[in-house]
Amino acid sequence: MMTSTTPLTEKKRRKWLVIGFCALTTSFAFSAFISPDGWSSPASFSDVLFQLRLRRVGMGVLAGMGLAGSGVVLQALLRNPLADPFIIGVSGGAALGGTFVLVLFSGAPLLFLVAGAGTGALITTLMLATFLVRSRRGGDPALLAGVVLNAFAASLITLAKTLLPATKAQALLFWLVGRIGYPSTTNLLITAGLILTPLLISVSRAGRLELMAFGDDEAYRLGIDVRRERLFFFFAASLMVGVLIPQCGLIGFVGLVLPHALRRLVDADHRLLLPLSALFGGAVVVLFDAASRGLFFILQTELPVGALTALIGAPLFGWSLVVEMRGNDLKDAAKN
Amino acid sequence: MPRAFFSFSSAKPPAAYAFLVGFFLSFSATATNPRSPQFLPSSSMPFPKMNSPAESPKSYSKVVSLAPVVTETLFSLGLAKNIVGVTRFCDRPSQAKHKEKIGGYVDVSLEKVLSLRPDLVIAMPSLGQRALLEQIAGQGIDVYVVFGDTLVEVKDLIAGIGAVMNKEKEASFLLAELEKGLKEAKATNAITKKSVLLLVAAAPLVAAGPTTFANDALRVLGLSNAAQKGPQWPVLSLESLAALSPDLIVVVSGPNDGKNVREKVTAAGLKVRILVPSKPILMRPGPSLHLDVQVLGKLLSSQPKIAQ
Repeated sequence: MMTSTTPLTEKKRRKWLVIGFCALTTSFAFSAFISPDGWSSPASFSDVLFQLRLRRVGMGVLAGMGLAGSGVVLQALLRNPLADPFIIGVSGGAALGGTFVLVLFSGAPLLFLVAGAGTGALITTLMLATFLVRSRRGGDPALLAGVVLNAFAASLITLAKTLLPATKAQALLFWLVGRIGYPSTTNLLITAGLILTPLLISVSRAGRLELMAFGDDEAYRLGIDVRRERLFFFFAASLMVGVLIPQCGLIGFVGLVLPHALRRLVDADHRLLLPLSALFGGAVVVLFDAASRGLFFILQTELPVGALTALIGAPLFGWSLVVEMRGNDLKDAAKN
Repeated sequence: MPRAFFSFSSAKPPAAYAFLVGFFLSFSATATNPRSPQFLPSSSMPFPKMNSPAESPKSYSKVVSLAPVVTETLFSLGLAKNIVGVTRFCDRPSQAKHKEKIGGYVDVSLEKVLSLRPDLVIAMPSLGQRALLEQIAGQGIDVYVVFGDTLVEVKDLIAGIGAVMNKEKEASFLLAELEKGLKEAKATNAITKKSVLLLVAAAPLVAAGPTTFANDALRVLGLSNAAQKGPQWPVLSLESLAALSPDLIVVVSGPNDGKNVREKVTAAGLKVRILVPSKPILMRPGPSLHLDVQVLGKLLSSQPKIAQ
């Protein structure tokens, strides 16, 4: 894991958190006025469509915060830059649980889908947690187990897609690819509680995460109960992912790219990186979702936000890598 | 006609597991026929209500259609002016293309639908539309669901929409036309008792299986479907196609797929006659289904070596 080369100052932390907060609120305000017909200002704030959209934007904020936050936690926890919310197996378990409900109980209410996916996420979380607790070699066995679980889930989902009629397979694909819907107020509040609680507790313990990023032995010598902390952060990240996937599907790249970008651009210290990633994650997902909604009047469909994040996130990340490599080459040349 | 779409079964199973089975089945099954046209009851979800023109309007003036077959039926019933929104796949009749679009099958924009302020939404429910329909009904907008997999369901669909839109006479006329057209198709068909495989896609090979309107079209013509078992729309390999040993293959999806299927079948060395209509037929149900059946009947009868 990359760590900061210069110590993080409280002034810098505050400055960037204010920037992140401003980015989030600006994105929220901007997105609330993007409708399927383009820019729209509601007649009043009590307008039903506007209220519906506010709930969707709210869910987008939570999705972005949860995904980026869990991405940072997992990358530090597993000490693997490739770790993201969709590599640890919980996503596979949730997707499989949801698919199971969609296939067997196609007429069941939405709550069943959420319950099925949540159960899938919980089962895989518990399985992976046992790997994490028993492992004496950091998070590697858990990471590998997660990859294997994801592959297993993916094969079963492919099987379901093959056996299902075309329309059902299309609906399944659409759910899996990730989109943000219109939650009820109750649903939104419950989701907010389940995302923000583990996120805020993780932020308050981000210093321990920073120490754990140096390695288990180092953290242990510094007085950290590594096994307990590892388990806490793993459950916190899994809860965030497990709550989001049943409702929003698989919105990829936010949890992987954004933390990396901020680590390079701002600071690698988790006391700043974790809250900042969450704030920018919320802003980015909300903006991508607004783009998917606003493009409706051109495309006559709303692109799944998961497709957009990968479509734009992948080239951006590739570009940032190329820029960094060139920068390193130039530094090497200057040294020589 | 209005009946609970998601009602609990009235049966009283003795054991806990039977209750669970009944519980799940009840979401898609009603006491009589779960697949006849019916209203979706307003959800109790905590959504704010739309300012709809009336709580339960007797005549609907603004309708959103969530399926091409519904759009075509509404136009055929003379309700073009009442349609305020259609899917981007609604292209029949051609006027439907100029109507406001609300998305596709599974990617309907809830905001777009609501912004059109409809008093009725007619849908063919699919997996992806479940949450959407619940949310629309939760806004106090009437949601009418119809089915169109088989010929019987298509007839129910026409009659149901006619009844809801106070166009019973026009619906009866459409149904009479459909019956008459099907009888004519049967009369013109010279081939009977043949096993026919209807292909609706070439890559992969997808056939029309049982409980489809395409299967019913073959039955009307006195023919048997080579894909009588299995799923509604089975995906076939060349081997499984050969195993069905059809007397004839009709690529109903049209000339492009027809060429593709011919190449595949010839390369595999299978000896079976392949017929291809000049334009796609039987690709979707609707009030003009009999016209497609007539085209199929004429296509089959135009094969002198097969005609008996």
